[in-house]
Amino acid sequence: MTRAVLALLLLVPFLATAQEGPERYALIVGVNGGGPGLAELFYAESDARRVADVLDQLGDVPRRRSRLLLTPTVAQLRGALDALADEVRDARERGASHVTVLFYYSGHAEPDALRLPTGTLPFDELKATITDSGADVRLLLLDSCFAGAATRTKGASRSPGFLRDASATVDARGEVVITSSAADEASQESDEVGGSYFTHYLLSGLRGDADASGDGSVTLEEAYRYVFHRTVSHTAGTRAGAQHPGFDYDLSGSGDLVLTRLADQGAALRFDAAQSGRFLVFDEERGEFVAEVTATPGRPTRLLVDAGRYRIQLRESDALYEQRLTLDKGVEGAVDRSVMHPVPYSEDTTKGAIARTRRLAAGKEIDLAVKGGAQGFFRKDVRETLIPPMPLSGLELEVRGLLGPVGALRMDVLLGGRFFSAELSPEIGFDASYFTVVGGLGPYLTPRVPGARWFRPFVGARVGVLWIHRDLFPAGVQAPQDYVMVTPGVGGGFGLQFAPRAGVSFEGRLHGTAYVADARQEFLAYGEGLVSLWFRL
Amino acid sequence: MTSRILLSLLVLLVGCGEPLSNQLLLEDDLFREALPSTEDVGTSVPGATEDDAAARDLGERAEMVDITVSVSALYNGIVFSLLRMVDRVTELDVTRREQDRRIWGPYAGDRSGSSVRVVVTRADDALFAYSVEVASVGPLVARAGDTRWEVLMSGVFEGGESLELGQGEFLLDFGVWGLVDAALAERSGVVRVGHGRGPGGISLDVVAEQLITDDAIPRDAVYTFRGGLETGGFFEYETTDGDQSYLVRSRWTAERTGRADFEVTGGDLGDLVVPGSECWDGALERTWYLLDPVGTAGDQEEGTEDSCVFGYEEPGSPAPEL
Repeated sequence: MTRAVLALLLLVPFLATAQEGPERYALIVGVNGGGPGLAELFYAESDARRVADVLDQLGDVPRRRSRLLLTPTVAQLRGALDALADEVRDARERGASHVTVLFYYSGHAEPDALRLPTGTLPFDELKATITDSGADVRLLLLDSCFAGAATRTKGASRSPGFLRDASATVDARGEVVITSSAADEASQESDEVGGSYFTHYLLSGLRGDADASGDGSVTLEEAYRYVFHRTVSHTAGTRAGAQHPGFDYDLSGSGDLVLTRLADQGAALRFDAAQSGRFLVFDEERGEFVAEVTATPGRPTRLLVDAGRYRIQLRESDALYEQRLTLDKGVEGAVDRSVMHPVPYSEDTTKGAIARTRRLAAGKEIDLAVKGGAQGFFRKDVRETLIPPMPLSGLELEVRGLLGPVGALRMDVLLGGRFFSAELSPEIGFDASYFTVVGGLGPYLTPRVPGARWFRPFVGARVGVLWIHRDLFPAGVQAPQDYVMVTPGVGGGFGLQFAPRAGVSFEGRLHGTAYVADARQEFLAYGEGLVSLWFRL
Repeated sequence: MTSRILLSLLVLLVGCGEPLSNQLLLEDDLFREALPSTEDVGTSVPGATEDDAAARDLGERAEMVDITVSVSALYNGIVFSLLRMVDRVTELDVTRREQDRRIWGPYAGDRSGSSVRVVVTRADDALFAYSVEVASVGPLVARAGDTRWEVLMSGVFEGGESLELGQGEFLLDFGVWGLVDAALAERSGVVRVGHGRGPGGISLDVVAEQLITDDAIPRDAVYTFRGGLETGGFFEYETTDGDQSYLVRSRWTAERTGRADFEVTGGDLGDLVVPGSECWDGALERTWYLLDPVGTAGDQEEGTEDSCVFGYEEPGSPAPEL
């Protein structure tokens, strides 16, 4: 037995250098901001995340071979392209039989360059870097835009050409560029689907709706045709006008380039031949639309999705029709118009989710927290004879994204109170009840920690308002005392995210105030220690 | 400009409302001290302590010492009993505390169903007015509006360098006192006390008007007291012994040696005014005694006047300054 294990271990180096199969690498970039003078996009980053998900699930690009960049600097993007090229070269050295590189970009663009908040990256440089990597197939998907403050339309890139031979088959060697719109056209985002039209239909197609042949795979050609038709038809009536995705390729060889294989890795939604209409598939757990299926009578469609809870909507003129399905891994759920129940459009709860996605996409997250803790003044005599430590509890609202990508605005209201007895001298003491209201508002920095998205430190400044009320016993012995103070301060701590939309955070605060009493003015400082249970709205 | 901004920020930092403070609590004692105490208005004369009482058995004790002690005890007894009641009330917690006023009570008086309260008001940093008020009806829970409060004692006090060295005066209405103390139900009359305290001791100017005490005989009386035991003192008073009245001007040193000049009237003396003097030593024993009826040759004299530490002063002449 020991000899057998030793023999296997000795074989490992030889196995590692053996000929390997095809490998795919991806660099996926989402940029909501475009820099000065350009409007923020709402869905570019979330679109990029969704592309990464689909490539991982269906596109044979596991997470370890894809890199997701959200609002990188130009230097970071160049570094990522270089790293991608290095990975391709490494794959080549390992003996990979075929290497495909996919570059997806969603964000602003100029006619000849990607437009990032920190500068531009020329298309020529982008293509050259990818070409130089030596990958067999280089696929560029550019969902790029210019600014359009009023309409948030994306500006079209000047794509180099168009599909010249729709029936061409390739052995998948060369370069393909798909753009979201033709030259001089606008690319558009849609609040209805919570993303850009182009990427929405690209993802819907890749999940199965583009499988025109029904062979269980979505090829490059199928995907492009699908995206082209859907995007054109659904943008024709928009204020920005129809949007025509562009396609340019330089491929050689033979054979279709398969983008996704609809293997039963997760779960599936089945639209049988009797269904017709435009169905939107909403992932209730993630709170986003994951795909759209245009069912045609006589043509069954399978849409591959993750296991989870889904709401399938059919939008008709009189009402919204919904069906809910919970799919376990390996389970196929049937979408059936006849079992759908009508829901008034005014009660379409997906709107709230889309609004949240929109906020998230724009970097604006809103967390509501239930907080509890204690407050105490640092000076012993104040703490023991005037304002005792008090428990606090209340609510906090945090809006991230208002003050930049890592900036947040926090506001809270906390209540506290207690009974307290004090001795001022051996002869003099008092019993009293205290009540306090603490309110605060301030900017915070909430930087993300690479590799630990569940951990989020924060630090910030606050302006607090502290109201303290004291009633001495017995009742009526002395008029109640009320004092309201403005108390600037600082706070900091960290949050731990234990669920997609919930977490706990620990915070310490330090406040100070000028306290004028008995003809004396003093600076008093107090601290607060708080634990929060927060929920993302 | 910068200073304006800083000033604006500072203004923002200052709170509004009434800052939490224990100052009012800490001032409770200040208001207590404005009330007269037994040390403030008590007469301390030689021979009044128990040690001195033992000396009374020697048989040679000065007569004026005994009279002075008894008058002092009578006055102290009246005033102290009231002040003890006030102390009992103000030793309790304040029941109403305002910026310039403290109220103790109402608490139960000695007489069933009676209530007592003490109100002290501050008019200035060191100027206080106070009143001891009683109600003969209404339990403790009686609301102020349901209770008719009578003023038993009212006074003012002005602190000097400190409250302990201040001066004041108060008026006692014995007719009201009976409302709360059954033992005093038959008493009446008014006692007005002016008092002060300085480095040399205390000063008291007491005027009693139609004061009816245990013997049911209304009396007017004037007491003047200066100093104390430690510093030496002065006590002038009118008193009676049977049908005779005495106007006594008594002085003593810190060593207790002293002299009393007096006038005796009434009784079998008719309209005759009989002056007299007595001196005593530190043991309160008579060292000189003279009774010199005006217009007669019947002088009574024991010892020599040389033994006296004080010279003659006519009774009723202005009292010395403290």
